[in-house]
Amino acid sequence: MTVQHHNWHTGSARQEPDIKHSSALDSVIGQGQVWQGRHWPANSGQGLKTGHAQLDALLAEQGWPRGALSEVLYHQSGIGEMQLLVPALAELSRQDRWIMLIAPPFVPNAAALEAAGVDTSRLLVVQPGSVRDLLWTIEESLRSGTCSAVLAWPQQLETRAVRRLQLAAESGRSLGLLFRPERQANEASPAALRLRVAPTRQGLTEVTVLKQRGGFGQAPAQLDLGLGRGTRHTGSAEDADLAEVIQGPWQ
Amino acid sequence: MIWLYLHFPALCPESDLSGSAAENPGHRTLKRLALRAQRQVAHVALNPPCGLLLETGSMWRLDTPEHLQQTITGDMEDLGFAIQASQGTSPLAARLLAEAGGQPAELTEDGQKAALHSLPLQACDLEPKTVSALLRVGIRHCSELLALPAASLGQRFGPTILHWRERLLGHIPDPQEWFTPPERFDQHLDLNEDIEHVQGIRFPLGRLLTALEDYCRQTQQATDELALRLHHRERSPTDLRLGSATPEARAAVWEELARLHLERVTLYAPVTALSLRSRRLQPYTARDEELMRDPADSTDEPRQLISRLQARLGRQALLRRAWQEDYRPQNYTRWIAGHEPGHGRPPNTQTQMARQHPIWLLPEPRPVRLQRLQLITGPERIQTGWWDLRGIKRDYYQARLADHSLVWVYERPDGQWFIAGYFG
Repeated sequence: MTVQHHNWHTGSARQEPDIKHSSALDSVIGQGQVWQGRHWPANSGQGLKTGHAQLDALLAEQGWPRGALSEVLYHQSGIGEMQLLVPALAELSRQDRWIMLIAPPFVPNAAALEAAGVDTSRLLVVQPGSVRDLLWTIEESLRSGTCSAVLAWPQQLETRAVRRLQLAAESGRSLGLLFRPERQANEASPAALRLRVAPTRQGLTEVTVLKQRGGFGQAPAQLDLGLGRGTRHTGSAEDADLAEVIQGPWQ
Repeated sequence: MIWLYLHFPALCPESDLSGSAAENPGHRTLKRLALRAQRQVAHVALNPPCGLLLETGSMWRLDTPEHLQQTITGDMEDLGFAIQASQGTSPLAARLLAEAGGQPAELTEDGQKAALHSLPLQACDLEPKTVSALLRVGIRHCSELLALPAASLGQRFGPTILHWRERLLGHIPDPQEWFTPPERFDQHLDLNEDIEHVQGIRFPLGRLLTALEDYCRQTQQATDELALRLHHRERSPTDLRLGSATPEARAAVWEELARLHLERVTLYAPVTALSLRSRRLQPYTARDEELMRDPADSTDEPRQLISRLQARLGRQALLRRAWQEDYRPQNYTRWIAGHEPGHGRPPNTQTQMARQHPIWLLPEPRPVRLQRLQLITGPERIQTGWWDLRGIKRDYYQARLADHSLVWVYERPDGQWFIAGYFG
């Protein structure tokens, strides 16, 4: 109803259904009584660039929402879920603040992160012993204002806890990211942005926006994160030659 | 009026049987109070068991004597001690007036004279023998004693009393031994009641930490590690180590760190006393705080977060990266607790190599059957480490599992396949 009225005045190319009807609607619109989707206050460009143009296009703020909590819901590791973030982390690691990795599922490969441009001296890896400590650590890190990004892998999380974390992220102006199991996608969450990440058959990474503040869900985007293609990130011609030379098979 | 004497009635022993003055708890308290007094006045002398003598004359450029006395007595009352204070033109006069009940801050020289004159002989710090001898000749008050001519007084009662009179009137110098803070902070606090709950320690500990702050300020030092000992009645004491990532002197910061640390502690017996020692002291360097910093910009300093996390989670829970000159993938980055990484980058060849490597590494490679793998790129042979007998010779591949996740696998020479990491 609200979508295509912009041509009704001019009445040019369209075959109009009923001119009286349109003028009635027109006056209602004139009084500002109809909410129009295209007038959504676009705070575009305020987000932190993700480094993936396709992903930026999906997001309302053209990037990761700053000072807010985002969720990445995924089923298994090894589908580029970190690769989504790495360009942003590389950017953030230039700040004089920490990047926290709280209870990561595996050992982070600092050399690979460094190769992708992340200053790993800013990284702090924390392995809290209990769920309580885990939540405390996430909240404390978000709230302190001394972390540019807080990445956490909590096993279970109540909605109430997520709300607390969201508030903490706002007060500490920190990029909060929770990696959560996909089965929790159905639970309500106060996070500002929820993404579902899944692999496709072609080796691409499919990102679906489940929820975002200040925007709509859109058709999922299929991102090529360079997975399974040998040289990743910044593959120069020189590297490619090198890769060919050193490849086997040796028997 | 260059002297100020502080008398603490609560520290006075009930009788003279309290034993050696050096080790009784009152003496320790007196030192704590002396540290606090040094916030305002440079020269403080201990006068055990229950008094402090302060030389205020040299502070007049900064403060009026009245205001100084009010500030200092207010400080002491904040610590929970009742106080009798008096100024005086000589150390002895100030002390006698303070012990007799104290004088208001606005004391003038005439007022001091009148107050001294009305003191009974018993309050004049004379030997009991002399007092009784004086009483026998009908001298009951200080005024009568001061009115007598010196020559006959000395002839009759000996030179001691003359010396006393000269000291009281300030005619001869009365040298004092000034208090200096000890080499390191080590204080003990006996609790009035046993504490059974760990949260109950916080309040008495706060008093010790305030004393620590006084000490640190006075000596211009800060510490990054404190040893806290909780004494029990019939059990060996519990020792705790409180750490901070940066040298710190402020009591409020230490209280917060101690609170987080105590949350992890289980008490197995009631606590009867606390002692607190500074383990490492370093010269305090004032941090240059930005004057115009936006208060919302950052609520505290980056290192404070580390202190807090370590206090609550333990030092082992916080890991930072370290490089190693080693090409075995499981070795070239290490995450080490309590490590301080420099900004150095890894060797260039490692970065080149790591470009092909996954972000996640498994702590232990996991065996996998070849049938489940769809090999994509590779192999990349890594053969190194022969020097420590744990050398490897592996062919690494990128491979896809049936669930489409991309993994890093390798083949051992014996044909067994392992998953080494995930391309997260």
